[in-house]
Amino acid sequence: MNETEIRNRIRDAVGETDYPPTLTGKVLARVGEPPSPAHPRLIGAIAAVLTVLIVVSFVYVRAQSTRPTRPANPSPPPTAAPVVTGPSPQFLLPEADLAAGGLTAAANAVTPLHLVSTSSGRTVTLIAGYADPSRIVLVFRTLPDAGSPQVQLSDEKGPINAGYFGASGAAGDQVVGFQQGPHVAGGGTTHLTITITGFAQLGSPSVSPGSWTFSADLPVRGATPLPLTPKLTAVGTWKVTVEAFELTPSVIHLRAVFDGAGPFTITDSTVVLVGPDGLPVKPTTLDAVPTGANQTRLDQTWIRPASAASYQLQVNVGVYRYSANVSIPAPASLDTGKPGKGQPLTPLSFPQADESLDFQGAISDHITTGRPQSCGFGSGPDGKMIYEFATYFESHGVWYYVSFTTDKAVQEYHGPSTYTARTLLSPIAVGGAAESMFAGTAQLTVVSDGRNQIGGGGLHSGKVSGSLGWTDDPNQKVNISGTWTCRFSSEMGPA
Amino acid sequence: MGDSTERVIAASTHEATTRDAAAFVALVEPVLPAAYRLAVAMLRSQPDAEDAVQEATSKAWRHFARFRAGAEMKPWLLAIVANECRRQRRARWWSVIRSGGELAFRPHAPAEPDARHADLRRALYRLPQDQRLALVLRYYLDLSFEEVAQVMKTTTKAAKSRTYRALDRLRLSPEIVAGE
Repeated sequence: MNETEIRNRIRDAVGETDYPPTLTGKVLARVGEPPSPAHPRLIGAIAAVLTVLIVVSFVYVRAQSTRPTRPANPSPPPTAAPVVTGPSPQFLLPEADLAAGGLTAAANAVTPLHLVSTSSGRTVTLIAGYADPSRIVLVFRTLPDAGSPQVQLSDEKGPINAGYFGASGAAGDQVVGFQQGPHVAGGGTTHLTITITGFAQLGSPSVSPGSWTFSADLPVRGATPLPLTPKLTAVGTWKVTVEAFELTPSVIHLRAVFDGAGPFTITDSTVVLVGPDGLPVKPTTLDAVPTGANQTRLDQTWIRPASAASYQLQVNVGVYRYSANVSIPAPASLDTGKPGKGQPLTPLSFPQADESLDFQGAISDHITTGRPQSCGFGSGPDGKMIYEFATYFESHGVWYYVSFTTDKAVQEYHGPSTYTARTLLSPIAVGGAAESMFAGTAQLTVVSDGRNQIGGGGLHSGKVSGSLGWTDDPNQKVNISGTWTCRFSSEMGPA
Repeated sequence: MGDSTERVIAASTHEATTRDAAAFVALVEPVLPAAYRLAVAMLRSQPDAEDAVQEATSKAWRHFARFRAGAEMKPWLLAIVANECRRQRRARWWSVIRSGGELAFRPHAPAEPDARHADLRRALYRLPQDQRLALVLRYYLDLSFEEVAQVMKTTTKAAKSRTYRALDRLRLSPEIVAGE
């Protein structure tokens, strides 16, 4: 087959499409948009004041912690008080998982589970779950990534025979959402039995079989009825019975029976939720099931916005339209677990720096830039010096945090050289880093620690090489190697 | 630093001026149809492709300071679009529909418009991302191997190698043989 034939075959297979005439306008409208605002001036000022404290004592406190630093609100300077170790009292689901599950507005309604099951040599962790009267969302982690889990679900009253949907989150995380709530009403607790029977890769018909079973108790979050004014009883020739129009911590949910409508006459433009920008909001789920001759029950959900907003519900039947304004309150505020005021810092709050870091294994990528969160040396009450470099980085659209802290039990920090460093890697959660996904040791070479530069706030740089294991299955590795830089500045926030 | 003298206009987004925006628009606008074509081929969804092009262009604008004078905008923007497609594809939803107690795995994708090409289409989308990208760039966007290499940030030899490996896999696919 020659090049022309190949070209024709590929073009036929992909199909041709016209360039949308409105796209250029949309694209160019975004050019010149102001960049994301830097973190609030107040936070920057506090960060500047704390800079010295960070260097001399903060690193020590963090080095003792079992959790990575969180980029949350500024906290009071650390003191020489005894360091509390042990499990964190607060659970933070990776931000990418929340987004994949449509749970960004419901972050504080997610229940941490951390249940581990092994089958066919593969470890799967049920990290977290969420339930309300209209949906159940489960977050699984397995490394290396195995694709989409095939899930069977039941509660105390029997199988939950609903369709489910899902998406990838942080590395190895699969978020699965069932289009039905548990049999227990909102406000109660449901006991779920969850079985994964295999994993399938997108686009591949083959399934990696196994049997991973979990048993979990989940609180069922309540739903608040949303008023519809005027009352929705008929549109055109259709009679409408609204069984539920409600707001849960994660979705806006409509369930209604349409008399006069076959299932195929209901489309994604029949019931539309129009957002504050005047554009339709994409429904998360849309399920139209015939319940009788020319009668269809529609079950439709939309992701709840992360802030208060005004929407319009429209029902379109031929030339007829029903519309009602819907006011969505802001979700309950997120507890970032940190005292302080102002907006939580995000990775983008920190200055960008050039890095050249290779990640191989469960996370595979080459990182050329990072957002260093800390770099510096210091000591605690015992007077022993340590050095730490920590940075945020983005891989395949997900933000992670990695920290290297010299192990003073092996060697005290004494200036640029190579040290054994304890290393933690975790995805980013709303308000900070999630629980460590990988832990291990690395050889951290400090080439420059800023001391030979005027003002002491200069460039830090070095190399790193090491191997980390997944905290639930140390056989699953991430190897890290490369060079790093970090310019210590007042913009570098406290933990 | 030598690199900084080669930079075209702005040192950072914060310092971007109206003149920067005009220069950016002049460079980007002619490439948008190819960018959209690439996104459609990689994502198989026109709305997703529009989103990807908008997001990629926005990222390109934010990083315009890194665009070097004398460089070509087309491979630079297409590389950003390809990355954006990879990011969007990774986050794409899939679903399992229950029907009569049976589970049917269904990745979200538009219906097949033409069954004659379905086999090749399925085989194409089963290819690894980099091989599929090489084929799309070479045969759907008509880029030279040098341009394919620039977009994929690799050598011309490696770009050719990926393209031919991908073609080999498609030819070996039984459903493709049956359709020849």
